[in-house]
Amino acid sequence: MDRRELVKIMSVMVGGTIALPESVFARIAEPLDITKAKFFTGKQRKLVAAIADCIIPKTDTPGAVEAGVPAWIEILVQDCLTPDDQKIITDGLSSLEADVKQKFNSTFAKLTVAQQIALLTEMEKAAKETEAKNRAAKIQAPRAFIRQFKELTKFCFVNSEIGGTQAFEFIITPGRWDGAMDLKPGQKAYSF
Amino acid sequence: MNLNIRGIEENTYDAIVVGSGISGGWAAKELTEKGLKVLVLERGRDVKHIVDYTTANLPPWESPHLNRASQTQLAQQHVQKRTGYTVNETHGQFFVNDVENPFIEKKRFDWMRGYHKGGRSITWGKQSYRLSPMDFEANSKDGISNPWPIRYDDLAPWYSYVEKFIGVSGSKEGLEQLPDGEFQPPMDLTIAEKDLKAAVETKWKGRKVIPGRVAHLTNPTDEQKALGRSSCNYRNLCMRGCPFGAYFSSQAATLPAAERTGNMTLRPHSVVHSIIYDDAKGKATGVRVIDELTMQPMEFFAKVIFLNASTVPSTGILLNSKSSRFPNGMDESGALGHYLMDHHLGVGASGILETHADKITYGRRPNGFYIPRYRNVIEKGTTGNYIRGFGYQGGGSRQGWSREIDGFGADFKKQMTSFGPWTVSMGGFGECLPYYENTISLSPDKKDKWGLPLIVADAEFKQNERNMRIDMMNDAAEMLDAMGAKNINAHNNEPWIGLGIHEMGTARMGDSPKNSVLNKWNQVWGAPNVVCTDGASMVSAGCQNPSLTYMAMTARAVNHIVEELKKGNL
Repeated sequence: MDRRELVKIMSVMVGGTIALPESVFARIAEPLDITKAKFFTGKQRKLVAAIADCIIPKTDTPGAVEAGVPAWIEILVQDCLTPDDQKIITDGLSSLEADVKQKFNSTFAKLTVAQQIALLTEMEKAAKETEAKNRAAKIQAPRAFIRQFKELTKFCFVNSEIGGTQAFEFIITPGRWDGAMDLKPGQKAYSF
Repeated sequence: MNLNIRGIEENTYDAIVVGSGISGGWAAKELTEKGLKVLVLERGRDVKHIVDYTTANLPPWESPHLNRASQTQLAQQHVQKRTGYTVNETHGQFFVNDVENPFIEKKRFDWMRGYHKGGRSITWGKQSYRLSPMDFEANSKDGISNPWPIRYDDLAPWYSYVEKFIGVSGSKEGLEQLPDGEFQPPMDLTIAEKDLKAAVETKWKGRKVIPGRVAHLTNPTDEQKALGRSSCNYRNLCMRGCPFGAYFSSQAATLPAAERTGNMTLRPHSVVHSIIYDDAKGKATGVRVIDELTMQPMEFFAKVIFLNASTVPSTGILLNSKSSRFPNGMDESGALGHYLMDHHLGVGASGILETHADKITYGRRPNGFYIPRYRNVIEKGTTGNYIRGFGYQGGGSRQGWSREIDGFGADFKKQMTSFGPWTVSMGGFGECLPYYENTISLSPDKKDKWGLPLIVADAEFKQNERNMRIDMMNDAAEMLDAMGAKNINAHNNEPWIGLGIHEMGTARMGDSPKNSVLNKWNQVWGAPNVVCTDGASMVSAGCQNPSLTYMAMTARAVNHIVEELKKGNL
């Protein structure tokens, strides 16, 4: 949604009684400046895009790649993760590619979608079993690569402009409250 | 001494208010409306209403990290981040930089602070509940700590007075433990919350599930409209500052009311060092201030000084105000700095519903449901014979993208972009007893960059709170079970003092200078023209969110002080 659209909505809401200064609509950053992402190698970048595309593919709405998710993942890994979690991500990428090499003598990106999904599903299942065991034994352990990477992909997709407004419904100023509205068939969940 | 008479005149006002947050804004409004020339001293930067809410309409993709805090921001706000929700890219600017504002934790103290005009009135939760007659009687009845010097009836008209001005949305319920107020229409419960209400009120006679009472406009008065305020738009982006002025903040309500009298001077970047006390006159004459930016020391003078710096800093200023009458700070009772309280939380339960798959919510209600206290009111506590009680805040809504969904690819995406089941969750807010050994003091040797001694916090929750928490967890799970919720998940996290962001006590009121710092009008014993009406003055905590009480107490104290001034008694 562009800013003019937001201004229009806000003006309707207040009935034109309050002049909203331009600063309220100021941007604090240009959206998604890819030049700021300097964390991954070229090889890692391609693998990140392939995994993100497998997690959230293009369907009747755009997928992770169309939404710019790989670059957002890189920026968040670079700036928001602790060094320990950064290492979980980079180690996880290496070990996934090594695993594919051993099992299929190929690369993740070249596998069929079904093979990719089967591989990631297996990793997720194993990670959740380990988490359950740790919980039972009251052991604190960092979350596995696949768990962190999937969360990051989801977070970046939902909060991206394309993902958040096309695959979901995005309403910044609802204007009213209804605690029991009818769900329309096929209605998308809210991103915000 | 270098006396500059002209300088003194220029720096002299009728009243000085230290702090511009929830209680300071109220002191400024009431004093200026009664015709006094008032100087409001704010330690931090100016935040102009609307103009400075620069993130108010920012969609996530327009902030550098999709509104997630970077490691750099987390390092700067290493204490503020402990809530898990205060530090991000759209409202982190309304919480302090912990590196620039250090303090000492003898025991862990999760001290959330907002050092800017409006203080935490910009980011508060807005839940607005009256204390009840039983809260003001609790200490006397239990024979612990010190009795309140006032009763509910002393404050009731002032509660009404402030509710009418700020605007509180809520429902009248006729409960003795949670008196009704002056309400605008309530925000409706969701269909899931109505199920909870029906189940709980059927199974437990006297327990209630009600809409939260929240300081948002749902049907603004002419007075509120005249201040430029309008109804809530259900964005739930409140902590960024509301461009509609729909929730109560100093910026939206009290400061513009004070401003339009022409009697207010507000000085940002003014760190108050101490109160100047005149031994001969037996009262204060002004305050010492350090300019936050230039480090220039200054003095300002007034007939009356209102201390509204928020609980811990107000007590810090009193402790730092030393004179021959008060060699250890402005107190002769030994109570100053003691009896720090907070509400304990992080305990409750959540569950999933299998019903109402055809219904969703529309809008983001900045509110939820409230379950008023029932333990040790209509039902005795069951675990460890604890005294006092707790209330719950919670919500029932449909799960969205953030729920855990197994799998990958198109199936995963389809689920993620569809609504999940309804979930109902609730968390308790428990009363904390006043303990002498829970303290705030000043470091004898370490100072901040403005030369103020560092605050030392040494406080913890104790056995009464821990016993209460078991009921808080189990009751929540039982009420969810009663409504037929599945996958009920109960939790009881380690409670840290400060996380409730309801610091109270350390300069308590009382009926004698022998056992309290403030009298029943919030005046410092021995310095009757120094008045403290923020959380520091609290004698017991109740389990209700306390800000409304500070507002009522402030309006009441101003009314008394101005009468005293007119009579020539100050």
